[in-house]
Amino acid sequence: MKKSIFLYLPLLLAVLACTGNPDRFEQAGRQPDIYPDYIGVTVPSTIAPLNFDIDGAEKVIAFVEGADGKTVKTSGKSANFPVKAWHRLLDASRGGTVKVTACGKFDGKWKRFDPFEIHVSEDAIDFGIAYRLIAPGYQSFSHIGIYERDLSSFDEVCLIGGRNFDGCVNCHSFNRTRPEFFSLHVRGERGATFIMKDGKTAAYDMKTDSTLAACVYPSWHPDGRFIAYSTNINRQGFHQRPDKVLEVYDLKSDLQVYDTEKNVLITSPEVKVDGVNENMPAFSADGRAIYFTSCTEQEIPRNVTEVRYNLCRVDFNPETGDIGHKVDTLVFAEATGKSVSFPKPSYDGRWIMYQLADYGCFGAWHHESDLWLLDLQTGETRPLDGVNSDDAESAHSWSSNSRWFVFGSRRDDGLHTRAYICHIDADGVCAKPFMLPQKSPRDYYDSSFRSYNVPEFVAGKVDFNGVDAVRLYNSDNRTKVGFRWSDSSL
Amino acid sequence: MERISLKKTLFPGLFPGLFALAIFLFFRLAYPYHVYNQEQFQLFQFTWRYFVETLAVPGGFADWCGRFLTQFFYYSAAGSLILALLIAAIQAVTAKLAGNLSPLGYALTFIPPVILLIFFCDADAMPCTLVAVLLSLLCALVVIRIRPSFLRNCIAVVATALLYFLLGPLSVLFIVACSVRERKLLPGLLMAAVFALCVACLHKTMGYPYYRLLYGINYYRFHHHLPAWPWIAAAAEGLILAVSPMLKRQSKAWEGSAAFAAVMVSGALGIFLSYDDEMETYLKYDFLTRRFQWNAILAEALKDNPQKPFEMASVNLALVKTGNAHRMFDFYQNGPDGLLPPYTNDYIHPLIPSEAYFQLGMINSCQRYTFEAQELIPDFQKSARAYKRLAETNLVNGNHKVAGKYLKTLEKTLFYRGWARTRMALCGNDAAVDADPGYGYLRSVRLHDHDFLFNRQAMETMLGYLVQENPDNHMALEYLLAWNLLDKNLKGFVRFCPFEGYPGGVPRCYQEAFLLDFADTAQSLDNVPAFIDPAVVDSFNLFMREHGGGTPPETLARQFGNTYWFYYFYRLGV
Repeated sequence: MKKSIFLYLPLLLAVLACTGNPDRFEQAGRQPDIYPDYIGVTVPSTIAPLNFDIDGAEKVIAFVEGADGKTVKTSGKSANFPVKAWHRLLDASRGGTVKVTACGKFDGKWKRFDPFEIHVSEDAIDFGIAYRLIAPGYQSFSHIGIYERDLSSFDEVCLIGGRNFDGCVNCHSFNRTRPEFFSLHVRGERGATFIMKDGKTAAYDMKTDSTLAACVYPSWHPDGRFIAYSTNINRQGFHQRPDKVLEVYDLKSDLQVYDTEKNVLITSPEVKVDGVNENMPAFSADGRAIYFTSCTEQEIPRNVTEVRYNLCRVDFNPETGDIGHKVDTLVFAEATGKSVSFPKPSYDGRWIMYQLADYGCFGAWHHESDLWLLDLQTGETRPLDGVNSDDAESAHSWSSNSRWFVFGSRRDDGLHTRAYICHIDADGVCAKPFMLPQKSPRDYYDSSFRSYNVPEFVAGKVDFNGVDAVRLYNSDNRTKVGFRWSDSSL
Repeated sequence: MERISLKKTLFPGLFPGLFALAIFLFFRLAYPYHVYNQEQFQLFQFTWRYFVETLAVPGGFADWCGRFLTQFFYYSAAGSLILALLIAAIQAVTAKLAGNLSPLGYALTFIPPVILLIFFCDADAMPCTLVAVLLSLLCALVVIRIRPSFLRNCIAVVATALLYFLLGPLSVLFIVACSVRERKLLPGLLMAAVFALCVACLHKTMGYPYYRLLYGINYYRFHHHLPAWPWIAAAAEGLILAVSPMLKRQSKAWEGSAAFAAVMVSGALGIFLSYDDEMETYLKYDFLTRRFQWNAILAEALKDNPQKPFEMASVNLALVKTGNAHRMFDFYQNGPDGLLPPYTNDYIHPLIPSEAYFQLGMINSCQRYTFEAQELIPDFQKSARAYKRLAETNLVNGNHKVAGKYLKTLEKTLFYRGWARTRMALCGNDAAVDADPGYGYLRSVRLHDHDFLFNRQAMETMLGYLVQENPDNHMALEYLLAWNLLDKNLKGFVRFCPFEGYPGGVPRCYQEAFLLDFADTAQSLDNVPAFIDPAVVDSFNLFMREHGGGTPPETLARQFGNTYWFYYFYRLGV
């Protein structure tokens, strides 16, 4: 009893701080309006402090009480928790909840809000995420780069980009979060595809006489030998209605697989069909199939709203790199007047998460774009209600244990994509997602005019030398690749 | 004592004063729009984050100071004064560093600032160059006074590294100035080694190519094309400091006066050759468009007779905004490009068309052109002007949160704070935006029902939708008619022009276009509609006789140069 009194003493003091003087602290009778909205979210125990602001508050006092009864206190302009104490508290609360009590000072008067909970999952999360930061613009780009963020802190490192670099970096991909396998496409005068494998980085000219264009959307094969790419000729169009801005569409696209050992691109007539655009490949968890999207070519831009992609699957032979002959349609979205993009199979082989929009292949600019989940065991597909918002959800990716996914959403202000992380259990039940924590979230997000583009988990620090990569980019040193058709006997 | 005769017989500071005054008058009277333009493409914020981000680049402190000063270029007089004082101060500090110079030596100290003045005839020269030179020299002035020499040399070596990072490679002037004063080889060599080490380290750690680390990251807006002027000025500065001990021998007053005159005449010649009249004219129309000075645009156009599409886009916008669209052929028209110019991939030119799209109610196109222009600012800065416009397009489109972000940033600036606060009052309140005369009108005339992807080849269709959805959008109608006229699409023009009941009667140029189309299909001009003035018919007959009779265009232009017929048959266009 004595022990428990001592254990609860800090909390008692904390509550007294908010309640001790009735003249000073008025009961709000509700939970606070905080930014970002962390009320009721589920987080990994290693996540960086969920610092927050209370809307309209001049000052904030907040206490977090862990499952073991210990508390962490913060006060100031916003709730800015000490990192080490926060981690200790969350570590002790794994599998349980922490309770946050917040008080805000408004017009010189303090209000105490009802406490809210944050659930701490037992499922671990990867080291960090990597993403592109880019202004959500049109054709031009200026300050652009690929960044890596440690999820347990606020440390962000630029892998490539910045003022010393003129290229447009995009379409980055790691092999199932393994940072030692990195593919990156760079557009620009000296455009190239960078592939880092076994600690070596090379710049490739992926255009061959037999293929459409350079390699664009990548997906690593689990064993690291192959990378499936789409090759696209894409364009942008600019809407005139106030509720729409931009349309990204493909004039043509095909699929191909790059064999990193034999330095050759492989494709087959089944994924390079005239009159059909194949796009956004993703290897299955066992590496024996490729999921991709496919649509009938339309007259563009006149029929851009008629472009609807279905979710398809084709076999793949990981011993030879050959592509199968039979293409299955898993989600016939066209029939429901919808369009699938960015299919991403979970690494445990159970699910495929994809985006569904009214049309097109680039959901980030579609307010109606939502995340959907296909159960590969039952074939059932459903929207991720509770995860989706009224604005665009896009560019999701799985954690290495398939218990978390990170995705981009424009729900914050309707234009700038922010990264959100969400827990998903073995049955596909999703918790409330939370926005990527920042040290001073309101200041940071208010002053950030760049979008988090294609956030992807990384299991460890990415050992990519951006300076050397820029040098390589500025040189004429490009590795040409060969081409072959897939073996027809597969 | 000749130095006194040159510098002190009238009063001290006469020559630097006159020099500063000349620079001020040059920028204020001959180059004001270049001064305004500098301020347009930056967004100086009074925030710690902005300071740290700017400082994180070699030469960042000089850049921050340059940007701080550039915000005052919002007023051309202030900008001219700042440039004049910076350039004149460089001369004064050079003279101070060089010590007791002869009149001839003193006159030579004007060479580096004159070269820098020539550099600033370029719209992309950055004021941080001046700051870097001035602060390097000032630091040298301080350090050379430190005693004892060991301490002085130690500080100089440490300062070399610090100054490289704060001011960029022009801090080499600090090394030159200190070394000359020291008159010993070792300290100079040590400082040079530290300088080289800084360059090598930053190349290795930050990945900047050597040419940028040696030229300066922020001295010029572009980094592909780098003018040599800053380094010619630095070389001249270094040379003068290096030979300054030799310039202390006495010389005659007339030698100094002659040298001063020679420097000034050479400088004037250099400025004359570098003066970018074409850009200054463009920037004038850009400035007047931005400030909505429609009558001033027309007054200037009557003087300048502009012929370039972007300038004509400004003139045509002013004509429509002042209700003078019918006067468009009083000016040189160069086709549809002079009405709504095609998108260009640079940071300056999309801004005039973006204004036209904004006024027309094509808010998304305006937003695109503005956003793209800002993204294309070569040194990655943002633009207060673009932020203002993007806040407005988002307010009109009802994207209040995005508008609020732009406005919050503008609230951190000196000259846009007030404007941003007034707009912030509208943010989040659709009723208030609707009630605002400007934004409410734009909301009422923008497209609601039709959606399509912008296609310049289908401009007639896009403008047609604007008119169709809101017949009160008189500006859209004028643009639709003007587009067809300039495109020489008479059928399109006749289809859309509301001849019957045109307020105040059908303008003469519209009658001219109608007649041209009418004559193409009708047997005779006897039964032209009543809205055609008989005098116009007579004039048309005369024109066609002369045109058919082979009268040279130059002769024809005297009588018919301002008619649509002349444009149709003799001007550029389709």
